[in-house]
Amino acid sequence: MSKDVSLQVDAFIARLRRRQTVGSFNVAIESAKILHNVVSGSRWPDQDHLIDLLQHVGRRLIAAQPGEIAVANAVRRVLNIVREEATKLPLPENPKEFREQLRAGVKQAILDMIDDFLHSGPHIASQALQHVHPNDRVLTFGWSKTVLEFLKEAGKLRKFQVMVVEAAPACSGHQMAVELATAGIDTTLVTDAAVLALMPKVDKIILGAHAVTADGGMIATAGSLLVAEVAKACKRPIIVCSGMYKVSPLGLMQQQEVLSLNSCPNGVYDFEEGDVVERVEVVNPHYDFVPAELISVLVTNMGTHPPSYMSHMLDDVYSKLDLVI
Amino acid sequence: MSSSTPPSATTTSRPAPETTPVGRALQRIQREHPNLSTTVAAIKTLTECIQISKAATLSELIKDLEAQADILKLFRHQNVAIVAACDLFSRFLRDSHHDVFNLDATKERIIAAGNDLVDKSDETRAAIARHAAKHIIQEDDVVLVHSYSRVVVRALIHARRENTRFKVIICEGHAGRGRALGHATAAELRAHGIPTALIPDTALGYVIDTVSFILVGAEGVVQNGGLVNGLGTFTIALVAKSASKPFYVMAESYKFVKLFPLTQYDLPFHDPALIDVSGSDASSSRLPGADYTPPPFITLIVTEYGAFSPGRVADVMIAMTH
Amino acid sequence: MKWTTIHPAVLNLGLQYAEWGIAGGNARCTAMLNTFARVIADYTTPPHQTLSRHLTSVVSRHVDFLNTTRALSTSMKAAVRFLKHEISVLSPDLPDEDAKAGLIAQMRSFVEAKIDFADKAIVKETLDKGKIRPGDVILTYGFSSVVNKLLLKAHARKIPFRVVVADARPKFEGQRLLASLVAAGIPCSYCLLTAVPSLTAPRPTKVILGASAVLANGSIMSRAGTASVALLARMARAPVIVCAENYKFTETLRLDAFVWNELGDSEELSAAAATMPVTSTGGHVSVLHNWRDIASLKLLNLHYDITPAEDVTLIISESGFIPPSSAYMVFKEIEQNVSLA
Repeated sequence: MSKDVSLQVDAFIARLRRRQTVGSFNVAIESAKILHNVVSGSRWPDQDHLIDLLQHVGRRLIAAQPGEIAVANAVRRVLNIVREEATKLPLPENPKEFREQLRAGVKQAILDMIDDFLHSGPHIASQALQHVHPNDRVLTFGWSKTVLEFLKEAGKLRKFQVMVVEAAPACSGHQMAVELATAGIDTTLVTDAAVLALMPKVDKIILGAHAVTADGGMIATAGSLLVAEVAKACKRPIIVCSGMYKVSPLGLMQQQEVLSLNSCPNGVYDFEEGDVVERVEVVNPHYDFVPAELISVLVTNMGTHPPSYMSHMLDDVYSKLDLVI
Repeated sequence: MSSSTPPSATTTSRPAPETTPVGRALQRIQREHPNLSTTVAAIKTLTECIQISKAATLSELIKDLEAQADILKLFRHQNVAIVAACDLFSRFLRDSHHDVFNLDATKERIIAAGNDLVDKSDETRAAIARHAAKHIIQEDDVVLVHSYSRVVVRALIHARRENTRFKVIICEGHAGRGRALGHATAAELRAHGIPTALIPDTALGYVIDTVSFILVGAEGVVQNGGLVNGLGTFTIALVAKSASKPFYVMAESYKFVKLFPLTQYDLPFHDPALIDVSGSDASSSRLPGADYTPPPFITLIVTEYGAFSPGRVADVMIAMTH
Repeated sequence: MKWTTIHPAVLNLGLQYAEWGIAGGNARCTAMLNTFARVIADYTTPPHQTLSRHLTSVVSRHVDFLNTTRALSTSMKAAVRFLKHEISVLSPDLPDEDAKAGLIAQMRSFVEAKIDFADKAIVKETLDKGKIRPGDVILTYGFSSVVNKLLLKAHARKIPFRVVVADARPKFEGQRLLASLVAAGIPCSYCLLTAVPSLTAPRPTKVILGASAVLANGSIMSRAGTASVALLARMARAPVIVCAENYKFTETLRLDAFVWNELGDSEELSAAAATMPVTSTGGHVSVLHNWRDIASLKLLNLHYDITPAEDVTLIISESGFIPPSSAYMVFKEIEQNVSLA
């Protein structure tokens, strides 16, 4: 790799570690850009060496912040791009020509992918009218940019109500409620404790995800599982909105590492007496895993599908050779 | 009787009950009267205790009986049935508090109550059997039963005598040691000309959709209307619920017992080691002889007073204690 | 003293209720009876009136006032019924001073019997029958005075167990329970409601909850969030025990938690709690600070919810162990024993 690209990689790794770049959307795009520059700004004799290089860089990126699953997703997507582009090219007589064609093809494909990522939100939002009907009472949990855009799109043409569960301790639902209401949508902010009491008054639940697993389950803000279990008990459907960049080819067992990283950055208890802190174990997970059987439908930028269909969609964007990087 | 913590059936600081006089008395009575259910045999045992008691005052008598009951409760086998008997006996004692000064008269009264119950136990069982035969077993039914239960066998024979045409499937009730008691059920039913199939417990899921209803006896009925009965009963109840088959319990009212298990493992006979993983052949030895079936799995409980839902039985038990 | 006004002690009590300085069924009931004792002590029957009839109207007026500060709890309603009944059966020949002294003594007896004795009986029965075992991991929610007493007593009996206190915004009542248990040396964990499904190591072995009321069909009215804990417990196959004194049993039937619920102050949700940063930027100004200016935005602060009977394994009162399906029968029995202590 050129020195310039190497510095870029190091800088990005630092930003990931320090949580200066956070959120699946941001890390997916940044990772893709970095990998584009690696492909562009490094010398490699053939595709196998390119794949090795990308795997090496990819491992470092993933290790910087394993909780950001979108990093690994982007790495795997790029690896798959390289494999696919290589098969598209005819066998050249000239290795140099092959390399340059491959480089150009991969770079363009990565840019297309980034474009895809950028348009995820609008693509998902364009399906909103299929799911949000007039006078619907929708419940959502905490903050999700994807869900926000989804509901705002629906709100342009339809009148409906949204109940936003605040999602303590970060209370990201507060911002969500303010933005929805500011967009003119009839919004009520409620506490986590009120979810079960209110569920009979809800028609559907729409949730965002931090990541989606290969079996169609999802990793989301802690509290999502509570909402999902209550919804199941009251027989209400759950719609999950998620860009494909959040979908991982790994199933849950391999995601244990993510869940074990569970520590919400927001504090939960401000103990007045100092010695209470030492004697109490505070359980404050960042994420929950919501299994596929609790999810009715996944709305992605590639369409609306049942969770069981996820594995088919993964075959289009990931290679089985890249499950372990 | 005392409301102290139920003596653990596995404590080693207490004597093995079968080595004690009262424990041996229970075993002797059971040998001499094999037709008596354990609860009734235990009542008979405690009645005998009163007769031979050397207590000089009522409070001494009560203490004496409590001590004997505590020893009986150390038996792990049929533990809940014995607890039911002790509960019942403590009610006899409580109800006879009127004549505090005339100990002999009090003793007479309690002995009479005990003997009355024992003498009537056969007829009580017969009444329940008749009710089941008349109201539950219908023409062309396929009845699923478990292991061996005297009252269930009685009910089926009675139905046969009433010329109802039905079939019986018996889950053999293999508990990991000794002969499965279902064989005895099969022999007895066949001797009365009842068409019977004896199946291994493993085949339950396979046959359940052919079954009309399940009929079981009871070792004890607990405070919430749940059932304690031979190991394997809960499995059958689970399968029955999943297959939407009615699950009927036949239980004399003296089997109602003041226990309220929170979970499968919240009964006095539970051994926390649960299963022996040491690899020895007696690997099932820590399993109890009974399991607990919670109320949502039970359709009706047939008593000598009629058939009730578990909730009604729970109500009755509350009324009984007040 | 003019009886068209409200007694200052009751004014003060109302304020404490409104500010949640006194909260919880038992505490509110006890405080009310103690305060009414003072009212009765200060009371004199106006000329040409009978104590019985006039005092009843005074009590009613004060009860109505308290209701405006914060809706009466089931426990308080039971106490008011009791007091009015005691007033109504006063002999007209009894001198006023004796009548008042008698009422004050009765109110003290009510607290002693219906709360203090009841709680002792609940604790004893629960522990004597081995419902808290060595090695238990007990999940509880919010603050319940009887659950607090139970856990402290279990610890005093040297039973080794662990407690997980689940809690929620906006009241964080669980922190009060946590402080009590930690001070006694009980090993504790603490989490918010949102974390309950994640409790795996160690996994709770049972759930013990308090109640504001036990309804006719065996369902439980309690602090909002309780029903979620019970639901999750049932799904995790952990038994749910509800501790509730007899006087909280009612013949009310409520099928959902929405229409009748007590609405709390919306401002509570928007107030930046000192215990946590509220905005994603880490600042301490609440994102909701100008929520009233946003026309389409409402804040809903529900205080109670209903836990259905099928999510409750066992109710324990001073009458003993009660399966939820038998709640109405127990209520009827209690009703028949109106005078107590």
